[in-house]
Amino acid sequence: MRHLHPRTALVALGALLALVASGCTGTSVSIGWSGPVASEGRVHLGTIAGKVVAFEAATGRVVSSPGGSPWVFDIEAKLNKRFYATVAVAESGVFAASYDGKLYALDAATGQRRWAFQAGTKTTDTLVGDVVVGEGLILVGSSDGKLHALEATLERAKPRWSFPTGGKIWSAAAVHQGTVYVGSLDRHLYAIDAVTGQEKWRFPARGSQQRIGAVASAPVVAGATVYVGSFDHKLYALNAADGSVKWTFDGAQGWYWSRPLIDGDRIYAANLDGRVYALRDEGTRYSTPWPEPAQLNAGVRSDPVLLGSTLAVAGQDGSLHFLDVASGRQIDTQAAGAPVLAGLATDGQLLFVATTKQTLRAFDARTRAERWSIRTDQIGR
Amino acid sequence: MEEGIRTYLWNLLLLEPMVNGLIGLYALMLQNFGIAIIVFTVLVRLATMPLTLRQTRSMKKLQELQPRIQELQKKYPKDKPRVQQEQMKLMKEVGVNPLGCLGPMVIQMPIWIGLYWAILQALAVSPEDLLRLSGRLYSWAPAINQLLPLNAGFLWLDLSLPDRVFVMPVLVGASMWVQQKMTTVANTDPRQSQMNQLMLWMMPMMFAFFTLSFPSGLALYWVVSNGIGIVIQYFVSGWGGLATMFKPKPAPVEGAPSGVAAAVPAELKGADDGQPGSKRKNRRRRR
Repeated sequence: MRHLHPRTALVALGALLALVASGCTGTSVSIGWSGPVASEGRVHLGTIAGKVVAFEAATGRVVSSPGGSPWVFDIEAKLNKRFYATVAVAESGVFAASYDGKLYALDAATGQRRWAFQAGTKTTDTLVGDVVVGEGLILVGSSDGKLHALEATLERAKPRWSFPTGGKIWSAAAVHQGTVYVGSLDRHLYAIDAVTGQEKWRFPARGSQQRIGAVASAPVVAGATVYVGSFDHKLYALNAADGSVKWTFDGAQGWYWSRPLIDGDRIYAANLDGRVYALRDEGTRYSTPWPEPAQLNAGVRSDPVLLGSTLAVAGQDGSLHFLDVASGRQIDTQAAGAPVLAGLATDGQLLFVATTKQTLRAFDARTRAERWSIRTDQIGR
Repeated sequence: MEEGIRTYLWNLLLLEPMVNGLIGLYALMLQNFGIAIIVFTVLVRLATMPLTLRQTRSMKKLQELQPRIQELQKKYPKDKPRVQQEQMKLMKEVGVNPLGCLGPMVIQMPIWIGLYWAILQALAVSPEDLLRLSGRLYSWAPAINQLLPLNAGFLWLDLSLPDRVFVMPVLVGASMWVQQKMTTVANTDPRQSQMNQLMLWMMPMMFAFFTLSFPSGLALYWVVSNGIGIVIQYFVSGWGGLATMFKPKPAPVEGAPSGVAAAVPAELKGADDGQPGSKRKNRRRRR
């Protein structure tokens, strides 16, 4: 065998070490995935670039405030400047929870900041779960393990209570008839008194032998039932009053991280296994109205929406699927152009999709043709 | 397309078994991810031990040849082609192939990199990391899903965050430096010596710097991995360059050999220099 010159060998060795160094220097990825909210002719979006923007729903143009300036709010954070949490639009204003750990209250007309509330004390106390406004409260979960409740007012930040859990809260809360429901990565779903902030019950209950997975999916309350999916591949239907199990669906093969969609007695649950499951709630048990789950090309993190009798679902591969709610049959598909991890939104006329490549697109809800598309990273530069 | 196949094979054959193995070990180690990282690193290093030994031995042989190469350089100071020719002959005679140490390293590299990525992905610091982790888990082992996200607390560390008291960066840099120093031999060629010095400091400094911003779980893996490397190196070739650090430098004596001759390791000259490695070697030789 031909021998190498020692210097060549040394150079080759150096190159190898450099390769090891480069192979071992990747780190965690954090981009953001906040979804759009459509209301009263506007679409509000917390962008990956760390801005909250209001668009005209019909055209995709940035809304001009009464003073003529664009409706854009820049959070101007040095660290973690991005959004995962979908903003909440209420009568009193727009509330946006940023990954930098702050909850911002913005004037609905101008987009000007009215106040900011620091949810945690450390840079790792990020905000991931969607902001929820209901029953006079603004609710946001934090990576410090607490659910923060503030009064829904623009005057100033008025914290009401904060509820501690044993893990990060990356799930959005749900509020219904005086009770707040929230999931935690500590593998529990909590029911909390909306007035006092005291725990009403938790699932699984203290001392129970039952174990579930982490809960990052937002719970949904309909009637007297709370529906929530977990990382243990199961979807639970619980009694809203005491947290007892009505039924459990364990037909999925992946995590639930998408909010279940309730339509009457039907539940549509998208899963990271790339399937959408349809269930009919029959009280103490469920039935499956579709012959089989709808099979997509990729897992679903995004929250689906209903467009009349069509269910719109976006996959992690950037494909938009339109399913017939009666049969689960795929009617149409569209390309969103990039992976979609954020929830979808609709105003009845248009379907709004935010991709991880910083694009906001609008599709006609009836024809499913694209109506407009805008790059959100260029806004406010 | 080819890139897609490569990624698919990388994930299927290396990353996914490692991620699932690591999480399985976490369950066995009473849900202590620090211990799981330590045990997993030890297991992987044990599995690659034959390759590591081959690499270390080849490196040692190459180092032992250095004084003789330097002698050649002194013998033919102005005839580089001749030096190269003689050098080749010498290597062929002794049966040393510089690739002998590179081959095992090349094979081990994907395993190290895979282990690194497995730890990083299992820790799942950001929401995207956790989402990506869901795609790496075996669906036939549903119990694994109930363990996630992992409890990242270990001693004073949150393994998903950089060490705020800077102990881990120091440990990473120091352990890497010790390991490098053990493999470095004195060289009379100033350019070669400079290169050695550069290599000796560059990597430890670089990795200590990375540790300042990386999850400390990775730092733990580097420290354990370096520690095992030091132990292996010690048993194969003793303290090497580290031993000479603590020896008082002899005062230059008139008539004493200098330069190349002085740099020849004692074991090549047949004498015992008092280093643990050479003692062992001499014992073996006597047997």
